[in-house]
Amino acid sequence: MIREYLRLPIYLLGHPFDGFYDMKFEKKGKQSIIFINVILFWISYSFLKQYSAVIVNPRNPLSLNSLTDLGAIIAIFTLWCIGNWSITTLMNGEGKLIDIAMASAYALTPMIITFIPMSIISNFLTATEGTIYFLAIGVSVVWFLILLFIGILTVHNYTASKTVATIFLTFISVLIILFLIMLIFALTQQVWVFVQSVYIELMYRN
Amino acid sequence: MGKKIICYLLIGMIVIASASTTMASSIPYESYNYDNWKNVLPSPAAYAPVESISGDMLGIGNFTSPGDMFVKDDYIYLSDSGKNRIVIFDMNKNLVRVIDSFLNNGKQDHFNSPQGIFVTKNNELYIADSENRRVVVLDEKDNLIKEIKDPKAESISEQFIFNPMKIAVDDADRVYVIAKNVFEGIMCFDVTGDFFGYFGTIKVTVDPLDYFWRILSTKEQRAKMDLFIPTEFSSLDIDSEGFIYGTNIDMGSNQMIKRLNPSGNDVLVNYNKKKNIIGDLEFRAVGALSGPSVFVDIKTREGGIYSSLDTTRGRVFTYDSEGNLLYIFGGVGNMLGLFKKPQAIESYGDDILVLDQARGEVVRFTTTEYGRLINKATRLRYDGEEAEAVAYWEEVLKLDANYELAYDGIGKSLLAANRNKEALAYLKKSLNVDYYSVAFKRYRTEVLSANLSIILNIGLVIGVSIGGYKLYRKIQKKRSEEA
Repeated sequence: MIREYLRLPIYLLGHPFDGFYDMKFEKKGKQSIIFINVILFWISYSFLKQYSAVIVNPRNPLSLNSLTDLGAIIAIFTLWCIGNWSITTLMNGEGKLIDIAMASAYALTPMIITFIPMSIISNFLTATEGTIYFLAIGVSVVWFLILLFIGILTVHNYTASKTVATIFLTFISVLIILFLIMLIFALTQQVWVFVQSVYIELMYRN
Repeated sequence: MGKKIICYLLIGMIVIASASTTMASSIPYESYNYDNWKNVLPSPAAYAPVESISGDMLGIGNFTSPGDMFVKDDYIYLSDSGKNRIVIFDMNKNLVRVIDSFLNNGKQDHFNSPQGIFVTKNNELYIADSENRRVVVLDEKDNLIKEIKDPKAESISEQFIFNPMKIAVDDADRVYVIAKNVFEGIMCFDVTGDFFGYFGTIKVTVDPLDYFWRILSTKEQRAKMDLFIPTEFSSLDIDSEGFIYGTNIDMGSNQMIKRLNPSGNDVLVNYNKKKNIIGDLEFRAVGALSGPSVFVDIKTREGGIYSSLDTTRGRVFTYDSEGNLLYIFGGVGNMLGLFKKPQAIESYGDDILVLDQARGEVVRFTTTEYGRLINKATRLRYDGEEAEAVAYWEEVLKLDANYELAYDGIGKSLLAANRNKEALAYLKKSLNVDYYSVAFKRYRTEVLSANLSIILNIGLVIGVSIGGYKLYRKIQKKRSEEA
């Protein structure tokens, strides 16, 4: 059972093209991985911020809040998936929303693998050896970006240049979505204030 | 029974609370300091106001917008710019004398808006007589020794008007003058009063955005824009080692105090790169009392400490020789200890005197227990007596558990004593990563060498068991193949 869950993510790390192909077209990907990987990433990210040694971690402990992290991660992940989906459906992308989410979730694996061990190891490092920590974190982030790129590319059956273009457009669509959300908030608030004042008016009329 | 205890506790708390409010009322400002993340942390007051000295108290009429003062031995030399006189009085508020005229070539000569004032070791008085465009040098008996005027050099234009504002003199009687509308730096004069050059010119930094607009704009627009000129010095002082400390009004720069060596290079030390020497690190951008701190005067003190006066919010910022912010006090207001327009700062022993230009008063501050301990510990540390300073730092921590420098001081001294594990705890609190790393490296080596046999044995056991398991599997495989 666990082995089934582990096989694809680990295979993906070394063989991203084949891995993502298997995920989409051989139906080997699991939809539950979206939930599992996002939660695992949240845990490892918050762990990294909280338990990395002082030498490599200048954060103010009072400013850390894992629940805010969770909210931010879920928000960014959702925005990314919806933004990418809304662009790629218009640009002949083959991937469905679920495929995009799966590919993005699978791409998180390198960071999930490195963050917790590196935060533990950092507690045994001096300032000069701290380079190891930053190198490992940096490599895992770059690896994540490469996986994400290849994932999007494979899922939609795009060329590399088209993938770059869609990722750029994704950021723009994310901005538009954020703008719309803010607009809706502002408008609903206005409506609410209107309803409220009508209610108060009616109350005083009696 | 339980209710009674709660009752007593409540009464006790009320007593303590009322006591603390009465204590706080004698100090009109709220003291604070910045932690390593630039958060404002409340702290006990390091200095408390004692008294204010006005001209009326001395019986000579109020000071009118006094420009500067200088403390030498027990005497305060105050240049009363609005009344064109120099007033000398002692710390006990006794008037010594008033200089409003002196003999110049057999004729009576007067001051015209005297500004900066400096007294040398031989009690020679250097007065920046700004509107008379000269520096007047008087001896102890108010006889004119010399005048410094009309600086001549190729770099100085014919139309230049020499309005000296602030003045300092070094041990070799070289005179350093900050004059109005001089952007090249501090003007230097030799013993004979001849101008020999500028000192400590502030490099011009150009904001890329400004530069971009300048490229886009037309010639007419460009003519109307501000020039990229260096900022002026606002004040200067000389420390015991002969280095010149200058304050400059350079908005947005990350260092508003300069320590100039004899060749005019800035050698001010600031080990904590996260916290710049700019006074307040956090401030409001708009509204009352907003904007960055503006230093108008600086005083170097014993033990590498220097205090600088911020005119924006009327606060005195005190730093040590390593650029750590030791304490902040003062404020804007009408009570004793608050200022309207602070103009000059001087020190007398551990006491600090601030000249309020708008009110024409000198306010004297003295250390509280907290400030005394910090001063003492900082000086011991400056002299290299870190171990002796520990006792003082511990006392500081009893009064203010947030004082990071105290943790730093104790941690460093523990590190020097090779008590690495204890040092780790303190250095972690002070967030001194470099020293923490050194302590940690030593502690790690200690633990490893102490437990070397155990570690090697565990390694041996693991190695042997893995080897044995592999051998066992191999044999089993062979057997099953044979079977």
